[in-house]
Amino acid sequence: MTMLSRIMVIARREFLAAVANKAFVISLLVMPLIMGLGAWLPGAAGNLKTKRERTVAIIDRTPGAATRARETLESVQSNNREEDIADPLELIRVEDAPSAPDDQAQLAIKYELAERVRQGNLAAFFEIGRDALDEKANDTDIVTYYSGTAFDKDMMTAVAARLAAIVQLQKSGPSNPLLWTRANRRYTPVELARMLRAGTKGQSRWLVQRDLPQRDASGVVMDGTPVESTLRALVPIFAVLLLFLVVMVGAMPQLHGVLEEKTNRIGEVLLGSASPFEILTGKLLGMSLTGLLLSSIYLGGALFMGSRHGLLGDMRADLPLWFLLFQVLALLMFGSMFIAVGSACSDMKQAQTMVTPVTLAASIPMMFMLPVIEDPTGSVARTLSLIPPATPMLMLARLAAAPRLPWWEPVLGTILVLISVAGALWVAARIFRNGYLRQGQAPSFSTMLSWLRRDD
Amino acid sequence: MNSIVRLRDVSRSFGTKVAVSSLDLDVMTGSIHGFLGPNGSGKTTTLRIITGLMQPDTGTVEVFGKAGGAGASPAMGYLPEERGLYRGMTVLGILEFFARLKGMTNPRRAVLDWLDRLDLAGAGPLRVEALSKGMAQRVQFIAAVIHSPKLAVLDEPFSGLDPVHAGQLMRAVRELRDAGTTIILSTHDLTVAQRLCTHLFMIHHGRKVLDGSLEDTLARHGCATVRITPRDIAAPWPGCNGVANAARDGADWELRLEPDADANSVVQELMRQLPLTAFTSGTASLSDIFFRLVGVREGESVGQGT
Repeated sequence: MTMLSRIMVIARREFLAAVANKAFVISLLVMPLIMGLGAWLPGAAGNLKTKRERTVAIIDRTPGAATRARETLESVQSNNREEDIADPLELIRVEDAPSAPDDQAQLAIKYELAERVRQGNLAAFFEIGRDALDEKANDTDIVTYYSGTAFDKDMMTAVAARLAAIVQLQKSGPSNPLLWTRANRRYTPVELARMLRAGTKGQSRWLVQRDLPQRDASGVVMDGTPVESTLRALVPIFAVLLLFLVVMVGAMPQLHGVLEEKTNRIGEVLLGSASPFEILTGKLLGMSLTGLLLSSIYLGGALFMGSRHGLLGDMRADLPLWFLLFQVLALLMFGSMFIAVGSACSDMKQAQTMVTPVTLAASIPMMFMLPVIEDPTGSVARTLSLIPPATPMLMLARLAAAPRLPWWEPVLGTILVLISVAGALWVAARIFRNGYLRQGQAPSFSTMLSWLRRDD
Repeated sequence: MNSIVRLRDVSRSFGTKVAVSSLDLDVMTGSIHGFLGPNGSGKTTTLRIITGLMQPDTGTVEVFGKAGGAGASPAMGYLPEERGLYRGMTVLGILEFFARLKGMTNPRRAVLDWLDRLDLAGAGPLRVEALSKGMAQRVQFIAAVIHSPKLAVLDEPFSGLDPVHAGQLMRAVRELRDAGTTIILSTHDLTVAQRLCTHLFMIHHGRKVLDGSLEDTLARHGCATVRITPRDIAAPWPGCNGVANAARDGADWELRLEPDADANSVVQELMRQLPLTAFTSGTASLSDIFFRLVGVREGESVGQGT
């Protein structure tokens, strides 16, 4: 019987004990239910809104992109009617807005349109950028969406994202993967309609949402500020919250489990069959598998719902992998500490006192989450995300908020966390070994420190 | 026979309290070695040192011919005094879990066989929380020995069992020994020890006071005894040649005779001084030896230890 086999037997028991109970099954079902409700309710609530026709205006600064866009949107509308498909686009009327060659005059036009939005005569307006059809120009800022509402889902998915996609598709040439797959042939409006109905994944990279232009105190017209950060923040906030939640849901029961083993006198029976290291490692492995199962289910659901509702923005493709990696590392780091606390205490009252520093270490990074998301590439964010107890959460937040983060930063963070996990495991194993059979009064911190040097 | 366990000059203290002091012990392969001693005598500490759960402060431990305690070796089975099971698991689940931990790859058949042997057939699907104390105790015993270890360390295996199930367990222990397992068990039931053990090891205040085979112990420490019931139960002890010790036990006197004394002569002399209504003669039991060696009177607790 090898050490690995014993670890696997313990991990299997821990995993099954965690997942094969009502609480786990209920939480597993309730979470997606809440997520599903969260996704369904806004739509359902939207159906309660008065269905009225809304008008949007398009400023076209290219030679003719808007015309083709309007044609395509009309094709989508007629296709929807033919196939009896409910689509918010049905109630959208598109009108042309004038454009001006110079930016200052253009700003004045946009201010006029903004006034119409504020008065309720216009729902929103769009500007197709001057370089939108330029092959060599950057792919960003193709379409700017001006709205007085931070998040109008219908307008965003039915019009803005589609408009951005349509304009982008007007660029021809092999550099565009969508066109390349069609052997360099342009899409017909019907093909576009079908494609756009299937979803507008990826288009948000080509789309910028701005607040309405306003006059400042001196009366000068200022362009609206980008509001994309509001949407972009959803991904990192969700990722970090999910990671934290799974650490708490996955690791905290380990403390209760070890306490239960001590209370029910299972510890000494177990120690007759496996070494403290094997028991600790088996527990951590079982816990990590449970956490990964939870994460994968929630993450899968979130990615599915996020992509359906266009909330993923330009999320980097490898973010889910980074999430799972940091999830496991965080579970190992904090889980080993929770187990150490459980093994040192004899009852929940003692444990509640001793677990406070560990809970604080897990919670403190949450306090820095928003500043890090707001300025993910700043030196403060970089420094904080390389301090190991905070790394899994804050590096993940940075990866989600700044898709083009240099590769070496998450790699360095991972290495630092791995070193910390090894240290945490060593400390936890020493405390576990000495505390597991101990009953009665909780050991002092100095006693636990002495366990790091020698066995009791 | 070879020693499967060997302790030399082993001492262990907890703070200022000395749990065991300068212990020497050899447990022979194939024996059933009984650990005896009153509360706090150091039995459990010694067993934990043998299993490797505790390190001695001084002295050497050798198990299976290797230095150090047995640890989590699959060759050892350990039933601790303070034992428990995962309450939410089924009997079958928990026994298979421990069997797998001990290296068995397909333990179902062995589990069912053991459940049947200990009158637990049909208990497999039950959750541990639904078991009576006696049933749980037998399940714990199975968990300790299911893998047929070379050495089984059983700390108070019979405590809490009714006579029927204690008898079952004793049979199982003998069968284990016959199948090649060396048994170390601690017990405060001296009748059980006398019926089951081939060797005895008695400690008191952490020090060894007896170590040897059952036969040697009874031969060396055993002696003739006489129990008399005087007509006048208030009469004082009159004194008698050949009596090493006389102790009142209710209306009776329990007499331990000197090694070369004759029971008939003692009774005849006593009848001349003290009219008797009844008398019986016999040989000192392990219980008598135990109480003599540890200096406590019968009726005092001699159970749970450190």
